[in-house]
Amino acid sequence: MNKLLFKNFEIIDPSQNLNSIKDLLIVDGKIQEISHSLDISDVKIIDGSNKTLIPGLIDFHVHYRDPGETYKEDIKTGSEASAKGGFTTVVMMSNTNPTIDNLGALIEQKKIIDENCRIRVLQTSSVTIGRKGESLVDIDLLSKNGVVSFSDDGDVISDPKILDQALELANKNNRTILEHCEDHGLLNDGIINDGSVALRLGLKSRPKSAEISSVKRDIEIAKKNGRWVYLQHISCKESVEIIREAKKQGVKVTAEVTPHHLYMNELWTYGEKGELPSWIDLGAYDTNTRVNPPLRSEDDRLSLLEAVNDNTIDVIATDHAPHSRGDKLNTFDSAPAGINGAETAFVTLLQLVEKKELSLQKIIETMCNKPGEILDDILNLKIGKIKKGYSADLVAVDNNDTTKINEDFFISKSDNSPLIGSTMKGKIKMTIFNGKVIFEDKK
Amino acid sequence: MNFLRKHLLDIDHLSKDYIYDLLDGIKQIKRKEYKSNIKGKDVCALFYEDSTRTKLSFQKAVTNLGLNFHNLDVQKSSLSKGETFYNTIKTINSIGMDLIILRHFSSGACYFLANNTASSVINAGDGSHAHPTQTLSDLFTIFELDKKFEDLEISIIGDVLYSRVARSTLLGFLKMGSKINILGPKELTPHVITEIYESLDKSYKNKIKFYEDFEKPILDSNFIMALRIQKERFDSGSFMNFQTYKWKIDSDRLKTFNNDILIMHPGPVNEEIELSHEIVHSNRSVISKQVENGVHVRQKVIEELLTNE
Repeated sequence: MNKLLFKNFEIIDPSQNLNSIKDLLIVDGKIQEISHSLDISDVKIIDGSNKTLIPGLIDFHVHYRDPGETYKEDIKTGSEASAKGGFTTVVMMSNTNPTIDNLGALIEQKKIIDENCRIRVLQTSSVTIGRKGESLVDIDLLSKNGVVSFSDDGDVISDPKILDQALELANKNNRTILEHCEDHGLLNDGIINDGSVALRLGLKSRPKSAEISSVKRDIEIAKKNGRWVYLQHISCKESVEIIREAKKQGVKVTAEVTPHHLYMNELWTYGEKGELPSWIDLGAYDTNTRVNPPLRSEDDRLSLLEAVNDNTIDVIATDHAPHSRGDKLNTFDSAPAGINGAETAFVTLLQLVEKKELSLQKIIETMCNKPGEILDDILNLKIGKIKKGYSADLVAVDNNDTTKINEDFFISKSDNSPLIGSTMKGKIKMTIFNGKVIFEDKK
Repeated sequence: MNFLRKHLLDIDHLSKDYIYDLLDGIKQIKRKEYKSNIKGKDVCALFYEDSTRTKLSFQKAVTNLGLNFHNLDVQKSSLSKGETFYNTIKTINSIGMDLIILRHFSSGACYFLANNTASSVINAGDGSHAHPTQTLSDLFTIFELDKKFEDLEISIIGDVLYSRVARSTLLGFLKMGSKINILGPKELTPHVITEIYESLDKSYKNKIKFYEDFEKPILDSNFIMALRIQKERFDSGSFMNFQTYKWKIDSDRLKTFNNDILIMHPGPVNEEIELSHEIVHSNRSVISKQVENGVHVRQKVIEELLTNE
């Protein structure tokens, strides 16, 4: 028997009403016992004085760029970056080159994952072949072979009929469609939020209406035939209001938000960490702040936080989107959109706890409990909770230590983060997957 | 204290006092009361958009200063062979230039250049963002008429949304204490502008007003600045048709204005769209003065930057 004992950790899991200093015993990769003063002999002990133990984080939205753009990231480096960020389970999007849209590609991915990953890496398939929005992939077959769900992420599914069919088939297989909610017709080739920053910097605005229109449509489709839909990276106040109302009416909708939309607003485009500068200085047009959907106004940011706090938003996921330095070294309108988030997500959210905008309990609910329940329903995984019999996926956090985010910080192949230069309160000290320590901060 | 430092990318970091110093200096240059003593510097024009007047104006300024003018013809250069902007910058950097004058279709391109070169940079127009030497030319054109900026009302007419000239000029006049009227189609004159400028400086509060028609404050203003309408935006846009643009100023319209009003335009003019031919060449137009002054302004700015080094 393989045993590991965590002693004197502050163990927190709101789903189990855990919020005190306890010991935790792992046996053969499963959580065996959580209790005060467990005295067991012949066991390796990890001492947790002044440290917090939470369930391993689950990331419902990552881009590891593999296959096709492995100069930005690959499955191995991406999963290692996620492990460092406290994630023990991740869901990869399918917008690689080629697209993951058939059984052969899926089997190939699984092989790469098995050979390279020390965390649970799950795969989505695209909804339509080649993500072209035209013909559906074999949803039944791919579901039987273990895809988590389906997503054309990067693009919305433009044809409502295709979305409806996809939802019907996916739901039948206990799966859903993860929708990138941005209506093409309304994007206006825009690149940042429609507002004063866009106007001052002379950058084309990407209107909220593109997201709102798409959120509305998807909810109508879900409502009409009683389907379950999952809306990715919600970014604005109006979307939140529509989702809140839909949930009241019993529509089965799961909503996701990213840490960057919760932590940053459009002012970050000025390159001064959210401060409004007196004049536009050399740090402005920071291409690392370019992301789709764009960073919105402070008002939007606050409404997203409110939505997490009142359960309108269910899941926080990173949308980890690595891009190389060469890619981002360009003018703002030519640089690709995306923020490198796997390693910074959790500590970023801890800053919101510090500011009393979010509680640690809420972070655990949205990054562990809720996504764990969704995945448990789909793949019968017992994850996302500190509970007897559940997979021993855990993260140890030191709230008194600090995380310095500089260019040397990243183990991802890319470092496209607007947070470079920030010092964050709190640090991930250890990530445990399946009862094994897979990341340890030795500094 | 605000001064040009190493680059001129926008006018937002220039103080009112410093702008006055510049304007005084430009006046000396224009009156030939002053001779520069910078020598042997290399100036490169890097233009990613077609421009005849701005480039020619810079070239004349560089020649007047006795400096070396190098022109990189982007259309025929490695850009068309797929070289990235960053690598082009690094190449120019290795060749070695004291000053690069950049015109680029992307807003913010000049900041990207300034971050990645050892040279000084002048923004000769970047996307919809800024065109600082145009603004200084506009300010100087008014300054040399011995007008007090604080007493002036300037009416800016047309496409404020996409215009880099509008963005810089608005801020220039606000800094100098003038009042601004904005006239044009709602879609091209976003009111959020007020919010931006008021957040920069409390003294700009209530200095900007919006109009959709030739109302009294417009007719009574001291200067009209008509902006170039970019035809391509109108043809692709669904809200307006280029032919129905209704803010043209012609001789009949001019009669409704006050008798001292002066007409400006950053050029090039779409004749019979923004201004009639008669107006462009009338005694109310200071357009040719703006162009003439542009050379002196650029001379002054180049000298400031290269002396600061």
